[in-house]
Amino acid sequence: MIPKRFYAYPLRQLSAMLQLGEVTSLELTEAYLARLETLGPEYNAVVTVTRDRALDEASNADGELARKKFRSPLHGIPYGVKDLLAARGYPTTWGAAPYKTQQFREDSEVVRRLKDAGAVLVAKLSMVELAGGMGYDRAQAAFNGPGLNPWNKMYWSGGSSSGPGAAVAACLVPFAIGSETSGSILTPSSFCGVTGLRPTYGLVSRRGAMALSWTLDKLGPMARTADDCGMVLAAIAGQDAADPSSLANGFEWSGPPDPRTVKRRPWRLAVPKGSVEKVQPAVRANFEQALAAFGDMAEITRDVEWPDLPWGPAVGAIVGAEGASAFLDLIESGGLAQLTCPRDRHAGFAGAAVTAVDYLQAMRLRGPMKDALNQLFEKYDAIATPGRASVAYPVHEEFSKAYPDVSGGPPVIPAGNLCGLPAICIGSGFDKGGLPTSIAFMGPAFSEASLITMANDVQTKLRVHEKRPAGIEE
Amino acid sequence: MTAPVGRRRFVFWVGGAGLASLTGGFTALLGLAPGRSEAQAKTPAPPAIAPARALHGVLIARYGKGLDAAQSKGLLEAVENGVQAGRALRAKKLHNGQEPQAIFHVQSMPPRAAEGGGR
Repeated sequence: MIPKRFYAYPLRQLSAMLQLGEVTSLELTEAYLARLETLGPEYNAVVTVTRDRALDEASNADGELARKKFRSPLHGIPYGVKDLLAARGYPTTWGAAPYKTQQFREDSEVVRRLKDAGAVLVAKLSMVELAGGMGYDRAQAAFNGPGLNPWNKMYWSGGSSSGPGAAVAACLVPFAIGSETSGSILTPSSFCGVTGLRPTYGLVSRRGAMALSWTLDKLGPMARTADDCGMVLAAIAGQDAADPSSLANGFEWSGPPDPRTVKRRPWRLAVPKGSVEKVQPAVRANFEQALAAFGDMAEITRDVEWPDLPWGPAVGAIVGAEGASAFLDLIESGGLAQLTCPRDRHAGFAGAAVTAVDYLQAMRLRGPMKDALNQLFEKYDAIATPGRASVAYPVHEEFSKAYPDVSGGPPVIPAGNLCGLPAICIGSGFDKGGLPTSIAFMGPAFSEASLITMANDVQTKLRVHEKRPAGIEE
Repeated sequence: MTAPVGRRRFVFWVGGAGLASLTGGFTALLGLAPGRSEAQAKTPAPPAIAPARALHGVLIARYGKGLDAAQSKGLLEAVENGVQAGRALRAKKLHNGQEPQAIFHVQSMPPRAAEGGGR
């Protein structure tokens, strides 16, 4: 028998219920499918509900549970993927009209690993067309409409992982897989008030994922809690010969250490100079509240100097050049004209004009950039900033006109992406209008376990993640 | 996989020139409107605009058939952003030995294919 508020449960609780036989995977899957089919369209969160596959995978999961075969803590648990990950038997649209009917013969590596872990794919989730690589400037940038924010449908759910953000916030799936080249997991996580984890570059294979920028693209979990993200990352991390960037490190996660039994020194957190001065007042107040929640579990250093390097220009040159190459067929065939966002139809050509020397200069600068951030991480465990400078943008406003006086300070998101570093974003509270605000922590390469533990420390104190948008209750 | 501010608006992050000043250069280029006044025309264009115009010209020649005037203007602005970014990148001095962070790997022949032959 399925509990009334099952959809708000964290993964560990769902897993325990499945193992104890309190609920079957089929019951859970049917319940999530019903939510996806009824509530999904309200937020433009879903491209394809994978009903047949889901029921098949759920039946298999139940059969194995009956035989006492338990593949992983995700066994029998439904999930969704951003629609840039291939799943056999269903379209993989990349959010863009020219690819609406595209299908791949094989599952992407992440979907394969999750299947191997016993998880149940229930939906392909919405995204900004081509993951935003053509220069979109408004929410109306996906062939199936803009992602709408479950906290207020007049606002955007963020990009480019719009569907994963909205679907997790509206409890249409317990977790989802998003992708980030420069901000596309952290932004929708911030706008939708969910937890998003951008892993270290190379920790998760990208085979079968749409390529926008080979040297920047990363896949990672979006879920209710930091612990949930750890559980998902443990299932999807690992080397894959088909993705030359993937690494053998892997990731293990059995839950946050119990503070009653594990003694640890306080976290050393750096807040870069200029991080909060020009953000929205609610973003700043909630950021401070989140830092205060650490109590004596953190030593916070303010006004830390941010390395003066051309972070933004480097990301721009790399995404421009690699994106133009990755989508050269579309560009040369005139296919950009079919894109939804008016700006994508012309600005998408600009990447083809990045000179080879500029691209290589950006790639060479990534060495000194890594050195500069590693110097910071010799003194600090993590960089703490507001996840975004503002709450979600109004859905019908161009981004540049939404909050013209707001600025986020140092370019921590592009810096972290250029250096391939992990980051986690969690809810820090809400503004007066009820839209989520966030705090983000970025650490050195392979520091995911620390970041998840750090985020869990705040989450268990603030309990912001336990709040739900109005209208999602059945 | 890019968030909205991560892609083309990077010029603002580095405090570079605003985009408003570019319009005149564009209209002069295409001859669509009386873009720059005579006085302006005698003043050398800001350094970033000339290469942006040239690169824009290449893009228009290659892909511009379907673009209307407004789209072409928007493209010039996007190219100008890229030129500004390139300038910021080249302003940082690197020494000769600092290689790009993308390494080419040789691929070994499979053992069977490497066998045999008279060499």
